[in-house]
Amino acid sequence: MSGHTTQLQNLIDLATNGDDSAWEAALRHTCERLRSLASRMMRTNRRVGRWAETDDVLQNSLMRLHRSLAEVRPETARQFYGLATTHIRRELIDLARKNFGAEGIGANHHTDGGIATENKADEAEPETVEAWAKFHGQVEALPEPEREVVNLLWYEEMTQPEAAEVLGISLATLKRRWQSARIRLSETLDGEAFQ
Amino acid sequence: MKDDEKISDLLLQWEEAQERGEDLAAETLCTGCPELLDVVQQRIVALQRMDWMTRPRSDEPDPKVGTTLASRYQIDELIGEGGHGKVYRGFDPELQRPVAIKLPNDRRLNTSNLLEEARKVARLRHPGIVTVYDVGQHEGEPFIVSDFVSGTTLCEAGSFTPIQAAGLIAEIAESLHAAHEQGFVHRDIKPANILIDQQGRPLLTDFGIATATGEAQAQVAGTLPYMAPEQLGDESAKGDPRTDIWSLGVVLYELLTDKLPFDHPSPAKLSDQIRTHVPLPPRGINSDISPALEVVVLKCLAKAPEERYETADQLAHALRTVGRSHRPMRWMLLVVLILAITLVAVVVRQNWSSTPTAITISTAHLEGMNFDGQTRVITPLHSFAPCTLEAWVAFTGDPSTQYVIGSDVPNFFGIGFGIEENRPNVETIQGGFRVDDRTLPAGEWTHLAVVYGSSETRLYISGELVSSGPPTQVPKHTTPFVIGNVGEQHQDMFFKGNIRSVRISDGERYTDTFDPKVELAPDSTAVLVYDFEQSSGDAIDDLSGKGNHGRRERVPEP
Repeated sequence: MSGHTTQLQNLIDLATNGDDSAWEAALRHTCERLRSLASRMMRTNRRVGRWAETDDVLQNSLMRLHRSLAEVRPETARQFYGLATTHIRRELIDLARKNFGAEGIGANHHTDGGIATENKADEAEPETVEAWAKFHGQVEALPEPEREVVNLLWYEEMTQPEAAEVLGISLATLKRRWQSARIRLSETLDGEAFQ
Repeated sequence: MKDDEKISDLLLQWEEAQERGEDLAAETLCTGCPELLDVVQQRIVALQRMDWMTRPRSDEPDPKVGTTLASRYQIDELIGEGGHGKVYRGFDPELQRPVAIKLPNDRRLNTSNLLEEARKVARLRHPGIVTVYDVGQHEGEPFIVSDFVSGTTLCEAGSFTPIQAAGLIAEIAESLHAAHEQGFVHRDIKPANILIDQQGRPLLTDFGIATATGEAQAQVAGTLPYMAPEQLGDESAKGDPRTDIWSLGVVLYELLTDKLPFDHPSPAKLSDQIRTHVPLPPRGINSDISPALEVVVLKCLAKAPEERYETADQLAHALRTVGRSHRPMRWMLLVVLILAITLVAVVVRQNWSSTPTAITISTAHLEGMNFDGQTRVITPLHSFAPCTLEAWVAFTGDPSTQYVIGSDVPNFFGIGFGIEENRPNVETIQGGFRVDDRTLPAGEWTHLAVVYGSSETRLYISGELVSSGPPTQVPKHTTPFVIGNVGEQHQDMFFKGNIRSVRISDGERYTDTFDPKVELAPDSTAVLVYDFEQSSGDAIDDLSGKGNHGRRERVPEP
């Protein structure tokens, strides 16, 4: 096993043997992923100022993530990542809703002045927090094998060999699932069918 | 092999070729299976659209993001990067507040000088200057922690009218003067070091940091054009308050003309220009600049420091005077009006003021429809451009009043206009503009019209063209015009007052000053005409004949 997966498996082994500090390290890693993904989602809103006010909300999300993961003790890295990424997605969707839903501070956007966000041609990368929330929701709706691959490659940013190893599948299978997941996401996010 | 598997294999081949930097055409891939060409092409498009998912590391947050600095500050997000280093948004868990963290990475700078300077600056307290909270070293690298300002730098702040630019620079000059009085010289004033907060107030940042970098500073892109002659050359004087006045003059020149007074790609030639060339008078570039304002700019840019303003306060005063002398009659009018308010307290007409009037006047007795801050009319007409929006309105003077007509969807601007803090406000798809030097009369009928033309957006008050801005982009969202509110999906930003009539027309109805008619009549270009004097109940008839009948509704308070 390679890279941070080995590290994580070791942590889980240690944790199941009662080493709480090892478990804490695994949770911290997951919280860092949430923070980083939230930051990426927030960057789509160029009006940086808004986000000064969301720090509390992010703190709450991090605390909740930490708490929900602390209650379970998965036995394998695969189980852990499945759970962690699901929680991360939920927190991201919640974060988007809190900040840009009807009740959110970002809904009342216009005092930010006129800084326009340029569209990127030909790419479907979400450009608003709402679009990010939709994306995370669509990932949640993917068939399990595809979702697992997206979890590891995109949310956890593993390499393909690392992900194949965690899932116990061949690299070729992983590549196929990764490809079909992206095609499916493109379809659902677009509202267009490719059949 | 089933088709799906075959397609998948072809796409994997395509992806592998992409990774090698080759672009395999679908036709080449499908040479042996032309029947799959269409679907392969479609899926390649799908994969291209999702290409961003395959390169997360290219958009990877900075490695510092997510780490803790000096066992205290959480680094949350990279918000700025330049020649001197990086600026992050961070969080101080001990004092529970957001902070800005600057990590200078210019190898030429002298760390101990920098830290010493930053420690001195930390004693500087002024509302127009970003407060430094902490300085130190982490893993051998210096860091500076300061107040986090929500907003933007002046570089990204958009355009200003000459009067707005003069007002902004006057405000900065006042802050600068306060620092000069405490013995600080900035030495690196430039748009990147001027932050504009969410209320539009300017704040100076990076005070005194330039001292630590000395001559290395001049090599850093973006700084040299703002440097004063005495900062260049062999003597390389450290400069005094008049050095900052020069730099502020360069910023003002740039705001007024959109050009730098001295501009050359070669640093040596640029330095030479700064020392010896006379800049092009700004009025030669922008004729809207008043002669008096031009005099102020050029005085800041005098080569000899003793020929410039002696203090930043003098500069601020000169700029404020220019702003006032630009509209001398309006000041007189204001005085008369203040008397009128005191004596009669019925109608306020204030055309020029630096702060909005907070007098609220009931408009309930007026004709038309009363919009109480929870009332709006949803039209079936989707926003479009080019178009002309106009309405007869009488607002209450409540500073919280907002949109007369709007078409926003959450997170996006729409086409619409309204009143913000008693000033007319025009929104376009990419942002819009507010007219800061005009407040609207409360409690009396005013005709407001916005022409969303193909080359510009124009605002007319009572038929007089008062401001213009860039043309709007075409609306991306299908969303209706709403009267009395910013947009159908919003439950805030309502108009408060009365609206007598509304007309929406196709194209540019007004190109020149006009005399607004009391009645907004239907004609060939009108696509929606509401006369609220004639409508009773919640169904609003469209008199244009286009069938865009509206529906009045009350939005419950959130």
